[in-house]
Amino acid sequence: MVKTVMVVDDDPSIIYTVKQGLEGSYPDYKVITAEDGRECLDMLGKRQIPDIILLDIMMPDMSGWETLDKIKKNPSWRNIPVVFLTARTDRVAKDAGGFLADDYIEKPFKIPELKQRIDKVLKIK
Amino acid sequence: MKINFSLSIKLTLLVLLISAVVIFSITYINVTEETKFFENAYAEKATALTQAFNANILSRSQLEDKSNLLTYITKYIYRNPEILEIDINLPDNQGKLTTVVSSNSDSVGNSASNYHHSSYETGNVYRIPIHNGDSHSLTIVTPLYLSGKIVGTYDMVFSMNKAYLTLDDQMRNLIILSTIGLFLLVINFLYALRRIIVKPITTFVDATKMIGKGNLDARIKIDSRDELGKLASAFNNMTDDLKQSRAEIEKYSKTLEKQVSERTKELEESKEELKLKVEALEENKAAMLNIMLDLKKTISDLEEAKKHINIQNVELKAAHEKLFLLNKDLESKVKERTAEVENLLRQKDEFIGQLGHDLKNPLTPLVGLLPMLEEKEKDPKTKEHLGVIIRNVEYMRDLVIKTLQLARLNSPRTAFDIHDINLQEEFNNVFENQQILLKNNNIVVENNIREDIFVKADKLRLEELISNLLANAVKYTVDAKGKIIVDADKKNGIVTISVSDTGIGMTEDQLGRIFDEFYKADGSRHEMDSSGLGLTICKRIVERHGGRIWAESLGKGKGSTIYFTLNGGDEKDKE
Amino acid sequence: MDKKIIFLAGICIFLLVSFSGCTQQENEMDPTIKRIQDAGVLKVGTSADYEPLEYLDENDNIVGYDIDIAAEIADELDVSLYVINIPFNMTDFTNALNNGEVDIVISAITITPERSEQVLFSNAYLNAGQVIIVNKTNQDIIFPEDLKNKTVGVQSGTTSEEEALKYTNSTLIIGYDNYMMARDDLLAGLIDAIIIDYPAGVGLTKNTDLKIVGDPFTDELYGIALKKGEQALKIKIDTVIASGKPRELENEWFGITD
Repeated sequence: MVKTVMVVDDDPSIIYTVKQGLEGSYPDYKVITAEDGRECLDMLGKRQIPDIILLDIMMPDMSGWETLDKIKKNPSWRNIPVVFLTARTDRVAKDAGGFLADDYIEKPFKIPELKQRIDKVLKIK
Repeated sequence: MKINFSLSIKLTLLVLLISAVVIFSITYINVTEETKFFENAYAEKATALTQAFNANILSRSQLEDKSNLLTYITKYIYRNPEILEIDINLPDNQGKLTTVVSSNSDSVGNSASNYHHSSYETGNVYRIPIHNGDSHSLTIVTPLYLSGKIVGTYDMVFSMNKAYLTLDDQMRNLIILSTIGLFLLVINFLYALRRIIVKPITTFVDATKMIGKGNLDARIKIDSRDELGKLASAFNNMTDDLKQSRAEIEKYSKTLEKQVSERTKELEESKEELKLKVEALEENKAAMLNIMLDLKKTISDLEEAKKHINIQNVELKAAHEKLFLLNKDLESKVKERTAEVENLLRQKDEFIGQLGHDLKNPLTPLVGLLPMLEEKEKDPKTKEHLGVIIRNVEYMRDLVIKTLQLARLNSPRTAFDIHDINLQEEFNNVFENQQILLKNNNIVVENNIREDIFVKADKLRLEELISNLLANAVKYTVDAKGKIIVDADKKNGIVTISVSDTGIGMTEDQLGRIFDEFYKADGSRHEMDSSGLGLTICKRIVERHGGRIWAESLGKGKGSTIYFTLNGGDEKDKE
Repeated sequence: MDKKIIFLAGICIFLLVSFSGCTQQENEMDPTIKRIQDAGVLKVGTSADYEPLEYLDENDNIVGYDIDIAAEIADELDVSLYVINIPFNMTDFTNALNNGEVDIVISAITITPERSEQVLFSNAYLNAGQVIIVNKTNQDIIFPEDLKNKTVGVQSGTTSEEEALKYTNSTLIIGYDNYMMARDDLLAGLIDAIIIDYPAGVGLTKNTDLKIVGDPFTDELYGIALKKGEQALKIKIDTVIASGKPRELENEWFGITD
């Protein structure tokens, strides 16, 4: 079964790494990409619903938190699991009144680690 | 049997009295009757004799012949022994009747009694019975006829002693007989009395005594249907009622007793308590008195001191004011500095954060993609180069991550978000995240932590901690079929967690130093493999959670165990 | 309990019986009777020369019918008997009674009005009429009338003497001091007949050749002499006499039934 993974990060290298890494190593993975939160939401709006979203926190314009907030507030998207890709391991805890990601993975990560994390989250879901 | 005695005696005496009255009445009547009878008999006889006597006096000359008359009288008496005396009375010159001839010569010349005069005048015959003690006589006074004319009187005294003797005997016999009869009557009466009245009464008395002694089972058995029988049944009923009442009373009394004893016990206890309290109070009082005395002294001392203090106060006040101004100055300076420091710290953190981000991002492609290249590369030399590059990239990664972690941990600004976290779950989480690492190193993990153990910790930091411990344990367990065992024990609110490995173990010397920065235990290890910061980070995390961390090992080659403590938590606040 | 009842009843009976017995209580004692009873002896005067009424036996004791009567009286008074021998003389008798030498005199004394003026007589205790005694061989004299012109012996001063005077000449009447002398004379033939009280006659003719002819032709009523005024004693004596005792003694002593 094909697992669709959406990766949202302002660093193209990250996108490249994720896409190449996952699709290259695991044939049943398909990666769609977005360079910022807005693009992510557009894609979601265009019914491009992935099985899981990998979301960078540190992004200009719309941060990962904001994006997450938007995703979770939308009834069609709220059930999509979200995993933070974080370079800053600060508070991944709840902001006051905010939503939580389903999981996080710290950069830099190895591709198998990523895959394992994705599988774990999807399994839970 | 006093009842018997008096009751019987009373009735006996009553019966005796009645009988005596009856007997004497009968006897008296009898005697009177007999007397009358005798008297009548004698009277008749006397009348006959007097007539015969009179018949022999035929002429006056006879009357005048005293000698002859006396002889006649004497002979008459001699022939008729019942006659005691005969007197012949004739009127004297004055016409008064006088005794002229008598068998009792002492009577001659005596005046006749009124009876004689009556008889002389009326011609009546008088019977005069005389009873003088035991001598009973009957005197007949009768007119003396001569040629049908009354010329005088005479009287004859008849002795009735003989008859009376008989009468007396009869009477005595009668009395004796009746007395004996009375005696028997009394005895019989008493026996009947005893049976009918006294015995039942005694039964009553006995029963009543028994009841008096407290035996309420006494019953009176009287068969007769008369008043006594009724009384007995009424009595028995009463006894039954009494018994019942008594049973109830006893029951009630027992209850009361119990209550009373309980109350008494309570009272006793209260009394004891009171006593103790009183004693205590007494002691307190004494102590209080002492204290009061001390207080008094202290007060006077204080008064003194107060004076001093007042003086000092004034001085202090001046100094205080000075200090206050100085304080204010310092405060503003401190505020300035603090703000500056805060600023600097923030800047630092931001810098580090940014640095971290800027270091990590570029590392990601390296870390992610190089392994793929290495895998796909067929050329051995190229592969070897790639391998060296990958190792160094990984080292940098480890260094970057760990340094950043450490920096964050060292920063006071970093706040910990403490929640109650399920330990078992957390460990499993990390194990799962690191399964690739574990599988590659052929290591089996065993999670012995109970599912009900919670710890108060920052989730992220806890994950970091566990990851580092795990990584450390893996690093030093390189033989095939290595095992890592985790366990936890909650005691007095503190959870002690152990992470044991079957690795190369540590010496005592090493045990103390592993938590130092950049310390690498295994000298043989390549520098590139380990940053030496892992356990330092663990220590920081544990210490910032208020716990402590230490390592134990049985020696080289015998595995090691890292212990750390955290505050225990509840399921309630589970994250 | 029973014992007590019996005891009480017994007492009651005892009281009743003794009470009934006590109905015969003594009246106030007559002084004479009291005196006699206090002395314990009845003093009896008699002229012991008139067999069988009063005489001396072979031991010189005074015995006789009269003495037995006196004994009865003594019994009645519950005292003993003391007999004093006084020659027959009414005056002497009277004195003896009056001065207390004797309490009673019993000595075949016939009750006469004259004597009644001197002493108090009891009721008659014996009717001893006069009889005629003659020699056994005498056939002439049977009735008193047959004594005409005959010599008759009597004791002087007795009623026998008086009777004799009725039937014969006074010159033919011989007065003796006692009848023993008269008897002797009769036996000697010096007199024709004796007139004597019947009871004495029996004694006189005992063991002799003399006989009593016919029945008593007079009434002789004997009385016991008392001091005048002794009514109580008289009553006592009369009671004894009335009791029939004299009759019994008569039979004993002389077989007279009257």
